[in-house]
Amino acid sequence: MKFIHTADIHLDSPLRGLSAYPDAPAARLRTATRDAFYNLVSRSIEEAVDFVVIAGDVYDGDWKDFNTGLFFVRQMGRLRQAGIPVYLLHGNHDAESEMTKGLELPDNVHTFSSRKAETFRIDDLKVALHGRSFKVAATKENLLPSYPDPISGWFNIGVLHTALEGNTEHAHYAPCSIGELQAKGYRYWALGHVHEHWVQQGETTIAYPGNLQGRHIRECGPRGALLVTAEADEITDLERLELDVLRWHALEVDVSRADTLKAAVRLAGHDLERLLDSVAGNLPMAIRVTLIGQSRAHLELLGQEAQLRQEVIAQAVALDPDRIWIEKVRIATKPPNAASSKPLDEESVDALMELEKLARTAVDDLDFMSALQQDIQILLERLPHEVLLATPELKELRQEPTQHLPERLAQAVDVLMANLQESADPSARREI
Amino acid sequence: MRIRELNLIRYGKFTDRRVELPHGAQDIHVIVGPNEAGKSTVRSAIGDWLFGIPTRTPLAFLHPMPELRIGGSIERAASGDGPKSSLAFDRMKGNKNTLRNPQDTLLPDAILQPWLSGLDSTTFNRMYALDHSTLVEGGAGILSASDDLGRLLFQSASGMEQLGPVLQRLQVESDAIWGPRKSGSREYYIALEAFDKANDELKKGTLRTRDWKEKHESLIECELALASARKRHAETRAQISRLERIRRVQPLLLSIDAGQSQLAELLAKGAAPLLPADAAVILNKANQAKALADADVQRHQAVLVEAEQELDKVRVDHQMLSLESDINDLNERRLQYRAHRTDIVKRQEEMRLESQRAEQKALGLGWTFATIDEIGARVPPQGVRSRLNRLMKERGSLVNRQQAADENLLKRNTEIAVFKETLQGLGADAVNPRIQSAVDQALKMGDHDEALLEFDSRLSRLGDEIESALSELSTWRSSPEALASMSVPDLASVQDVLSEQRSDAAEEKSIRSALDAKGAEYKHAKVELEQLVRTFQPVSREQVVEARDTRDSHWKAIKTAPQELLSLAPEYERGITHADELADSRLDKLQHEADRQSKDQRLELLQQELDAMQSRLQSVLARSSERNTRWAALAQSCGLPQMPPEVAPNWLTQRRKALELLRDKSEVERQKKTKIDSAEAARQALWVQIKTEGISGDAPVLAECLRIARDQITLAERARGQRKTIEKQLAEATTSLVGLQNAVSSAINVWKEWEASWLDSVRAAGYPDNVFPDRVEAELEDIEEIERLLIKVRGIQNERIDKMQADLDDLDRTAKELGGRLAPDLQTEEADEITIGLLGRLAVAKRAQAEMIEWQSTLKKANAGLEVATLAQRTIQSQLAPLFAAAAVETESQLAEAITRSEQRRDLEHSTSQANADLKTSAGGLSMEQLRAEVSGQNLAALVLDLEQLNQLADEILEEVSTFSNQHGAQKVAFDAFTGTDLGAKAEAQKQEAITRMSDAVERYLRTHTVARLLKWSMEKFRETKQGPMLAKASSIFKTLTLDSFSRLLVDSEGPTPRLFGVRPDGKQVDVAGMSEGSRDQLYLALRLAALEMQIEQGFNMPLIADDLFINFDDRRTAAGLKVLGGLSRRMQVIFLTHHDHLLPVARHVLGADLNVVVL
Repeated sequence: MKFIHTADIHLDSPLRGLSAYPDAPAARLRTATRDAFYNLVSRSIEEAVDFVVIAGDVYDGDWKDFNTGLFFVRQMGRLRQAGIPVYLLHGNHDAESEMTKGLELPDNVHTFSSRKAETFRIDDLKVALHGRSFKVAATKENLLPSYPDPISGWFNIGVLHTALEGNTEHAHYAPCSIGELQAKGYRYWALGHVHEHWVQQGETTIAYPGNLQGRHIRECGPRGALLVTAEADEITDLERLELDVLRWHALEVDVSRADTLKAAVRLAGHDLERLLDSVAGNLPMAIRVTLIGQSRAHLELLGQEAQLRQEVIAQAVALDPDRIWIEKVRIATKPPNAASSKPLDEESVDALMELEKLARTAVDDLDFMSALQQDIQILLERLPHEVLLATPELKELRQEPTQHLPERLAQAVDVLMANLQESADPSARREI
Repeated sequence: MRIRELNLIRYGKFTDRRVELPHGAQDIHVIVGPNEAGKSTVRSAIGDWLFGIPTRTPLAFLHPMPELRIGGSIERAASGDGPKSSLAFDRMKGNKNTLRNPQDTLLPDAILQPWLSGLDSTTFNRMYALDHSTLVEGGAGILSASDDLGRLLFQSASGMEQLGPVLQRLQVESDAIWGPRKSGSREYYIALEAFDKANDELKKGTLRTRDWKEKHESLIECELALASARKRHAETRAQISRLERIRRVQPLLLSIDAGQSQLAELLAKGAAPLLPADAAVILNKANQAKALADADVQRHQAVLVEAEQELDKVRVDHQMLSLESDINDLNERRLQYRAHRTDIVKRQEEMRLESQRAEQKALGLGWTFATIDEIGARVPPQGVRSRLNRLMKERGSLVNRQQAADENLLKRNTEIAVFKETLQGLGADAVNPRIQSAVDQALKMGDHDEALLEFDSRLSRLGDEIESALSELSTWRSSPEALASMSVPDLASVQDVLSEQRSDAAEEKSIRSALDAKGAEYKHAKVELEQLVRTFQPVSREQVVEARDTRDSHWKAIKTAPQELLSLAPEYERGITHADELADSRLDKLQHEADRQSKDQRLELLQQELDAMQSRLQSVLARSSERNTRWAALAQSCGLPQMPPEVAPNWLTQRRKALELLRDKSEVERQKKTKIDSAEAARQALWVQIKTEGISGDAPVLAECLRIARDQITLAERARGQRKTIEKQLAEATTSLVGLQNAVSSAINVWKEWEASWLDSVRAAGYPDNVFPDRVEAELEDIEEIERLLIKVRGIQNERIDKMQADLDDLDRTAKELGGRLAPDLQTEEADEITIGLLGRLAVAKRAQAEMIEWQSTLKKANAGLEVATLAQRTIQSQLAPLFAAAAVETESQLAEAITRSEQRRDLEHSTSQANADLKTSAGGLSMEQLRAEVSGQNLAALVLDLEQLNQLADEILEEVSTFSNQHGAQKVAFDAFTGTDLGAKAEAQKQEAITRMSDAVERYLRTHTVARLLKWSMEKFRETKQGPMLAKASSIFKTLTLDSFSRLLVDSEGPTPRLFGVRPDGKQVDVAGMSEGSRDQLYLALRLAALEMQIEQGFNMPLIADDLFINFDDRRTAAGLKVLGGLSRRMQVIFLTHHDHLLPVARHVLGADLNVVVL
């Protein structure tokens, strides 16, 4: 007996934090969640599984396009044609979604009721699936007590959308503990809600397949579903299927050996290449490049952030424009020890030190601060709501400018000094 | 330096005008004078007095130029540079030595040098002698930062130079990301546009659940309605088809029943055998054909009888018909010869006329004849006539030929005689060879006179050149002989001396310029050192040691006298404090002290370099002087006293040139003499030859001799040519004479032959021997005419008349013979009559024959028609026979009746079977009984009405069906379009990309913008705290001058070049262009005064002459200006010139009542 356990598909929820520069592989990755789900269905048919369990969150809660539901129905249709039944449980996102109520699913899809725990039996396999859908998104009570006792002699599967206990990453819905799950006496718990892959095997096997497709930098690494094989009452195999079409990766590049921006970019290029080689197949990647280490190029990097981004992208494009999508380039380098800093003539050093001292007092100039705040506020007031939602720092700055501006100004002094040092540095001037 | 007194002795409009400028606490002096009072003259007088009166001055309008004179005295207070001192001097107009003391003793120019701080007149006028225009000019110069003062002004702390570009770069960067104005090139707005676009796409691509549900439900509703309408329609159609069947079947049943009863009735009436369906037609046709056949038989029989009767009547003349062609032939000929008789008469008349004409001609010739035939005999034969004609033609040409030959011969003989005579008249001259050779000799010498002229001109040119070469020798000129014998130094050694001299001069120049530069550098270094010391007062180690020594000595004093501790302690403590302070200060100012030391060392170094240069200069000078002495001795020894070496190479060249020219001249003179001698020899030789020809007297000039000789030679040559020509012509004439004589004799022979032939011919023609050719020629023409006429007459008789008569005779004979055979009664008649009678009888015979043939044909046709008609009668009878048999009747009328009954029976049977067949197709599967049952009891009228209503109902339902069907189709298509498209999802993804791009842009903007703002702010603050000393001074003066309307000056170095701004008390910046004219003047004055203060600090102190500088100042600012000048006058002398006497009270108020005022 074989079945696939999946959850948190979040169909049509977009990739976040990526901007489409020219040469980015944007166009073909905009339907990543659909493509991953299509892969899931194809794989189910290829493996000729006996059934598929979906443990909640097929849709994204606030997503309104009914086309998504229609797409889901079509995919269910493919399974129906292959004679594969589906056991579907609604999670918090599905409960919010209008599609859940509106859609007419094919007859091979069996949806768990939300009023009480429901059991579906597959007689010829002697499999019983127990589950209870969310009625509303904010289902905060423990649903576990309402689940029935196992049918003895049968392979009992519990299907549940839960944060489990103590998972802070995700909203605390339908909480319960591992102990409670084990105590229920089912053979397998098909869980959903938590996006990270997690399995605990034993008398009772408890598993989160993780979400089907990573959608932002916090969902790094491979994503997919679980293929469970059982003989009689025994789970013989638990295979993780990688079904994602785009993989997220946070790449740290140590640039302590680099003296210049150019050298740092070259190092980034090498690391990107190595990363590309390490990922099997031709899977595209969304990569956040973070430069770390104590580097002589620190000031130059800080002073030429835009340039740095462009050059890292250029490296990526040179490597494989179809496979790499640079999400962000972050500078987390540190300045080198004083001894090894670049020599500047004494006069300039004096002047710069004096200027820095002066610049640090700007925060106390109320006129200056209010003028600066006004400048910034004009822009922030005009920003669309979505941009503020996507960038909490901007939202905070807009709401509490006086609280956040000094900190930004302090950072600005660093950047300013980096800029000035760069321009005062005779060797840097020569390079320009 | 200050001026104590100025005395305008003779200068401009002034004579002995004395201006006293006594020294006071404030050394400011106001000189008031209205326009034209000489205020500006005073200003220029000070400059001219101190620095010299320029060559061209406009101020010599009263006193003549050489008498201009300015006097006065200058003084200097005691100071660190020296004790109090003064100098009184006058300045005269002139090129040099213009300084005098008041006692008119000459003073050296250098005496003023220590007083003038190294200034020259231009610098003084620019910096110290200011009027409004020089002030403005100078101020603008400072602002353009082009000179030292400008650089001083814009000087600020170093290390800040790159800030401007950095700021600009940051601003450009942030502006490229975002700005309040929407722009397609700004990163943020590009992303915003993408965001808006994606939002639109998303709206378009999104399918709402509610919409989908509505569509779905209405589709299902539509499907249901459609099905129900279709069902109703089917029911109605079934009912209609039942009623239609009843309506169709009922009449069919009725007609079947009626047909069966009628058939029964017919059979009951008697037998009705079924005859063929076309029996009636056959019978009818047979009757008609029979009637036609009978009529034909009767008609043919009648024709037969008539034709046989007519044939019996006809009789035909066969003999006549057999000779028809002969009769016709005869008639033809009769018609053909009908004109012959009249034609014969006409021809005979013609013959007579022609004969008559021949006779007349013959008579003209004097012939005698009886008949026309005799005339014919007289005509000479054709051969004789032709020969005569030919001979007559030849005669003319033969006569001509003979004449021409005679003439040619005569003409040639005459020519020969003439040639011989001419030859005799020509002399036989030859050229004298000796004359020729003398001429050749003379000619070889060319144009003698021209050659002499050429020699003269060359000589004169050489003379001029020699004179000019000699004059070039100038002082050292002497006679050619002396020049030639002079011993001079060679050019190379002179060049050596010269190049040595030049290299020394160059070296000297370079050393001097290096000395100047080094001197300036030394001065500059010295000033720097002084500034450093003054500004920072560095403390030297020695000072510290000294202070410590003092302290220690105090301590020692205390130690030696402890009891005096209290009284000595303060001194000791001061010592400690002083030493510590110095030590601290030295520590603090260590850098400055180091600077001072390094500058000291540099000064020392510079001094050493200066000394070295001086010694090099001296050695160069010594070398030059020694060389000069050497050269003078050499020149003297060569007889070229005092010749400078620079002149020597050129002089030597000139000398050589003069000597060469002298040599050339003597050579030319020698050539000229040779030429003259040879010409004389040639003349004498020629003359000897010409004279022998009979010309007496002395020999003329060479050219005349040549002309005469040439004339003689030409004459002789011409005569020889003529003789040659004539001799050649004579020989040719003599040769052609023989040919001409031959031609004459041949012409005579030919003539003789012709005469013999002529005689033969005239005899043959019957003329006498002596007949003239003219007569023969005339008569031959008439004879020809007679011959022609005779031929014509004979032709008419033979060819025409004789033939026609023969035809007529033949016709007559034939007619008589034919008439004898056919109509003996006509035999006696003329041929014409006979022929016409025969023609008439032939026509009668032919008509009878035609009649007979026609009747025979009619008879034949009638027989054939009769046969056909009889056959037709028989055929008809046989066709009707089967019908009679089938009907079993005898007669035709019985047969007709039988046929009628047969047809009735057939019709009935057919209609019944047709109705049965129709019934079968309309039955809809029902049996006859069922149909009868269904039909029975139906009211047909009511049924029609029902049917109509039902049909209407069916149409209505059908319409409904089609409406629903359309609706369903459209809805289905729309619904099927919901395929779960990913357009919305993609739009959302794009929207997220745009959001990321926007938030990136915003973050970047915030960072760049903040940095730029911060940098700008810092730069402003930095400048405020770190401005240069000159700016500080100018700033403070400007504040005072503008009465605090401006609080300070500010240098903005953000741009590519630094710029000066005035800053209002509220912080507003006003650039120079934006200031009022007054404020700008105040700015320029502030800058100038600040510069002067800087000068004073550097030890330069000269009086300031301010000429009406306040023209754009209002009274309050004028007061402020005076106050500033008053302040300045505590450190330097200020001479304030103005034409406004109303300023005086103000000035006295500001500067004190004891102000020195000079009124011009």
